[in-house]
Amino acid sequence: MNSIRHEAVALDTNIFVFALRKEPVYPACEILLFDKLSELHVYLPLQIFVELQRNLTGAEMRGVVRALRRAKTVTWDYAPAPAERIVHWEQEGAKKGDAVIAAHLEAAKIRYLVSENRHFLTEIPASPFQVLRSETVIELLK
Amino acid sequence: MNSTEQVVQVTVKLPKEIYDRVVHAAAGEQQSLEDLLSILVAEGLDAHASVRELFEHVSAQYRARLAGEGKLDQSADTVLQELRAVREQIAGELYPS
Repeated sequence: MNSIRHEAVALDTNIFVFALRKEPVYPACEILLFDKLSELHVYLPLQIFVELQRNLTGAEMRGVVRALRRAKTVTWDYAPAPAERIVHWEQEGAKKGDAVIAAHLEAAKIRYLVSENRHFLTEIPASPFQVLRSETVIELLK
Repeated sequence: MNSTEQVVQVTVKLPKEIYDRVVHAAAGEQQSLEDLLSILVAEGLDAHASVRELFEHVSAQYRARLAGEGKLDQSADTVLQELRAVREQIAGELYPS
């Protein structure tokens, strides 16, 4: 039995963007967010919150925030990522933005990142979390 | 409230007790009565909607905006590249080295 139902998962910005766009290349993003959200404990760090704000209008952002309240739980983590861990993950090969995400998840002890960004896997082979595609999470929830 | 949102003026009759509670809550949250009533109506509607309905509403807004900006037909790879660029930009702003 996997722990995806019981542990917090971080949802990357691209999951929201592809779901809202109804991107045909990544249809699982829409299914995960629109139909499976209530089965997830969601964790959203500051970096992803700001990225969502940058990509969405105020009204769109409020709509997303209201919908996210339907998750099993949702944690908005507004604390900055630890600077020394950002440097560490950059030294491991991550670009700065991905290093920030890695530092956030590491500090919050989050073990799953749902993302369609495969750079995490190549940049940070020893990352402290698993990077799962949305379609993988849907399978794990079955 | 977003200044680009359309608004409609309505007149409603409320029981005095409800009105007093809203006035009290608005004062406590330092919000205008109008804004709080608007939020309460939206939240009341949300309570009856499914998660999919809530997201479909946002998605329709978002897709319409992207279409207006000529960005709805961008390839998934282009979108991912743009998101990575925005990520780097924000990380540079939040954590200047």
